[in-house]
Amino acid sequence: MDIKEALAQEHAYLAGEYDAVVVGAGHAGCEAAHACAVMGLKTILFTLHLDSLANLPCNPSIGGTAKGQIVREVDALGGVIGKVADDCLIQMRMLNRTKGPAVHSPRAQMDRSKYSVHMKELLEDTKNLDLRQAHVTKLLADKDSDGHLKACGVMTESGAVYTSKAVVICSGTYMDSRTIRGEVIVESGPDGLPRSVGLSKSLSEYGIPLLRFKTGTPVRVNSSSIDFSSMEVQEGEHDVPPFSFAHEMEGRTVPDEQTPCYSVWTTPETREVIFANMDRSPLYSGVIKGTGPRYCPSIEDKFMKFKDKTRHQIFIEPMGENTREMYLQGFSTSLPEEVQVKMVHSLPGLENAVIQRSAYAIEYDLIEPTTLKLSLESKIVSGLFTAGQINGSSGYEEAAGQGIIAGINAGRYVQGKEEIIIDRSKGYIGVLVDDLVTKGTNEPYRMMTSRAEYRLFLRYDNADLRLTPIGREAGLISDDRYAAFEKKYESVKEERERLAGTYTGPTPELAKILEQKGSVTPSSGVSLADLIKRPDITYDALAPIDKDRPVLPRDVTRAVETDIKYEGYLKLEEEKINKFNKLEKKKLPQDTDYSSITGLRLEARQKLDQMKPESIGQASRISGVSPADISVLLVYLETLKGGPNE
Amino acid sequence: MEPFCALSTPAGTSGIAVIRASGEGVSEIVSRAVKILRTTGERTDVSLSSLKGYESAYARFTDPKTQKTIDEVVVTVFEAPHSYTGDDMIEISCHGGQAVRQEILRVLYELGVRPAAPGEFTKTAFINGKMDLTKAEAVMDIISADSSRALDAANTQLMGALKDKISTVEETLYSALSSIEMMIEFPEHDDTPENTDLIKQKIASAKSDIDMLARSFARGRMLTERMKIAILGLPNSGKSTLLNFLAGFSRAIVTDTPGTTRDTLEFNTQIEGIPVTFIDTAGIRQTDDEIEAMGVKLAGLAANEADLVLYLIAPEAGIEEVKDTLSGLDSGKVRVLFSKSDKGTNPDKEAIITLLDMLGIKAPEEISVKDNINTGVIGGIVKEAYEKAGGINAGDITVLSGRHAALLNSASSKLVQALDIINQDLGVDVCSQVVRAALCDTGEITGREVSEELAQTIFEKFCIGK
Repeated sequence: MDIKEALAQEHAYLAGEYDAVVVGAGHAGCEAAHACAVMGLKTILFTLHLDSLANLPCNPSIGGTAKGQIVREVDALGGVIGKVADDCLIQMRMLNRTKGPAVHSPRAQMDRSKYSVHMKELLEDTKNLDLRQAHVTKLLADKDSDGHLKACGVMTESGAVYTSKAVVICSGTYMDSRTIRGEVIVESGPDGLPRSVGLSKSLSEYGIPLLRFKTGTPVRVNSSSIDFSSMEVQEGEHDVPPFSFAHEMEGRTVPDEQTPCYSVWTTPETREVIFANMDRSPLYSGVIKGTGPRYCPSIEDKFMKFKDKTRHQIFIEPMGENTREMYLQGFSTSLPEEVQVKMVHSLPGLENAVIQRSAYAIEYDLIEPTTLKLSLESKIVSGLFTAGQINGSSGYEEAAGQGIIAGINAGRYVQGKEEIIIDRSKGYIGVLVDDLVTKGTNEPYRMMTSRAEYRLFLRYDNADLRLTPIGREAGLISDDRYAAFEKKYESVKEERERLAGTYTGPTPELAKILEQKGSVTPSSGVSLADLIKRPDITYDALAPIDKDRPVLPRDVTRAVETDIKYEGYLKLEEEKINKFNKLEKKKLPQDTDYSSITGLRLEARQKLDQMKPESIGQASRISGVSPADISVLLVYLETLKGGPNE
Repeated sequence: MEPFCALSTPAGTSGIAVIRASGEGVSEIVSRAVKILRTTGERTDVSLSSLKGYESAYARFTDPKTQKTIDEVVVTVFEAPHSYTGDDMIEISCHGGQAVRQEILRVLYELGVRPAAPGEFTKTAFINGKMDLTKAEAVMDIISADSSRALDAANTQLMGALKDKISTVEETLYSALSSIEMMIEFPEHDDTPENTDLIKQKIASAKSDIDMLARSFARGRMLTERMKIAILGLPNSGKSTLLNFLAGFSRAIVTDTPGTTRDTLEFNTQIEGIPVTFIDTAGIRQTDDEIEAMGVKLAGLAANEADLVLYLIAPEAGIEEVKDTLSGLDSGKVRVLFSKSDKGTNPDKEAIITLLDMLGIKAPEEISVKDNINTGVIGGIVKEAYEKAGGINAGDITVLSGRHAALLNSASSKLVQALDIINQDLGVDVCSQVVRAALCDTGEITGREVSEELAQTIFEKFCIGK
């Protein structure tokens, strides 16, 4: 349906004309809308419920392994998730401190209501951006003379027509969703919110293939009814930088006062209750047809699939400072409510716990992500971008990461500029997008550090070095911030050079430091950089013998230390990245007729024709395309260039 | 392009062999193994990397690890884009012996010049625009044909067994890796391993299995390059007669004049289903005839390279001459045949048997090719030698190609590094990257991709939830 047809409908009216329309104000939509607006596009952001903007309907935390890195990446690009999270955190920790710097991952507990309010305020204060509570039911698109579809606006249930040059849809788990608790099935969005009806049908009518996934969330209980005395306590930490690089460069630290989390183990009774009621689980009775994630199974799934494990750990997390509500991480279930009560009461310290919200499973529509380009633009409808759970991902951070990419590229599309793509060697965001659009997914996709080939390089601490120049190019980084960024890395460079050029002899003072750390004293002069390369020697440990050491901010010394310590490995990583980049740079024309290329195997021809990869590198990651097929493609590409060089 | 190399002349013994290497900075890399002895203008003290395009030099090729000289060679340098592939290239002309060729290739692999994939020189040449456009389709066909040939090879029983074995090793490594990833990905999970003890154990066990496989390469070579059997003996001991018998036609010129065979003659056939190359040699004796002397020298070389030496003793041969010629040979691979048994028995037979026993050579057999007496024994001898070296019937697995051996050695050295990293507490994230790199090496043989397998293993092994 195009604008003209839409306006011809009964009660339809022209409600607004925009450069960019963003549908859905979750973590993807907020980033996308913010990016478009900052890039100068006249933007409108639609939500089904303004009080639930940037809702955290599942766990009240942001960050964690791989996810913490993504938050830093979004911030480095000029996004908002990190800034808002810094303002709303009630506990901060650095996971994996002992496991190598590449996998250090910041994670914070959020004040959930505060998060929503802060994000709303931030967006309300953003120039060029309108917020609107409305139920968008239709995507509007024109057909050009070649029959190619082009997004041109949206229509709401009340007949309001909004024209737009680009449309970004971030529908989360709302499209045609239903929640399930045992036998009780409700046509609803998450958290009892209204669902989106009509939009997925509208997408499907344009020929966009739909999938259906399932996810779930555990019960919430009132902390006054919990006995914490026998529980393990998990306190927050202080030596953790804030999420936002802007905040970090200002010297901001995490709050002194933090709220603890707790953990308990399930009991034999928990197991009994679950097994006795397994026949009432919609997962096993066949009621739920959507595919659930393997990494986030419901508690009944865990007991069923890992029969030799008699108990599982449950974390109890606060939902905010001004509420008693607690989240039971690891206790997600779709069993009936009355069983949920028995299950909760079987946990030590929760015998008398009062449940405030039930656990539920939720099914929702999404689009087949392999119909997207790496820019997150649809290959089927130009000017249509999608981000977040609609693309098959899971998690707030994964959504935000896609949101900012979709937003930037919607902006570039409207500006008539070349798209911006973050490749797998540049960030977790690149790995995430490439995995989704190249390989697709058959379950909600969660980012894991092991999915990244160049993990040693994709660290939380250097996300700005990797991505801030890209954010700057897109127009999301202010002059001041960019100057601060350049200054930071200038200091890193100077300090590295100073350490490499500062030598010390085997003095008693040095011997004392090294001895304490169990390291051998060198027989002759050695540079400070060489000493830092030793496993046990930190930058800070050498302070007593490094008399001329300048006073530097913590983020600079952290970067210096990591760079020096891992130099050798980073160099290897760089070689791998260079090799990878060569194939990524070999672009395949979009009009390539793969069925006519001699030498390609039949399966490869079909897959390539279907996927239309953007580069040889992307082609090599499509399942069913072999290294021999890639060789053939390389040769084919050369033939396009028109023959020998000499 | 990262540098790769291969033998460019056909496999099999020849006067000289040419090994080619192509890739950016290849002369720089290989210069570590090349000591230039003389080049144009009588310059001596220069390095390989300082040679200009089309310049050649006489040089010593050494193993940089042991400083042992492998061969004296002629190296020629080609500068990009003026080379066959269009990249920097070098050509090493070495002596044609199989051992020499393999040693040079081994050193090149160890220097980081990887074995070339089938058709890779041609493919590179094409991509660098060195070939005519009309050849494009032909090249693409070659590449796809190569891959289907490789597929056929992969389906053979032996290749399958090798893959199975490596797959088992990979399982161990994936299991170690998934434990590492569990520690990283889900640090607070109750399934997460508390320390790296089991991880270290698994990596070490995988490493020793890989080493064992890599060592079996010497045996595997026999399967692809054929078992070499040299026929040796004093002049006129019936060597050529035996070869012709085995060939079923007159391959060698047989006369009664001692010293008729002046060159070595080769003949490929199958004995008991084993692919073999018989090498007929000149009779071993002191001679004033220059050409014959050269033949005698070649016979000695052939014996050195052979996997089995059939030493023929005619009835008229004297024990002293036999003793002189036998004593220089590797007794483990020599089998003695009393030939021409139709013409009588050697008068020194008993003394010769005692001598053989002393030299550690197995008890001899008597045959007559002319009357076809006891000739079947040759099949038995060949099979025995083959099995002793670990051929098809040996219970363990044989690595077939140099490429596979190089990949396994590379994987092994990465696992050593991985263990060092854990022991030095450098971080399991770094260790994980190195183990992955090792799995990439083995994956080139088994075709498994690390990232996909890994996620699978983590999900199967651990109960993960949020």
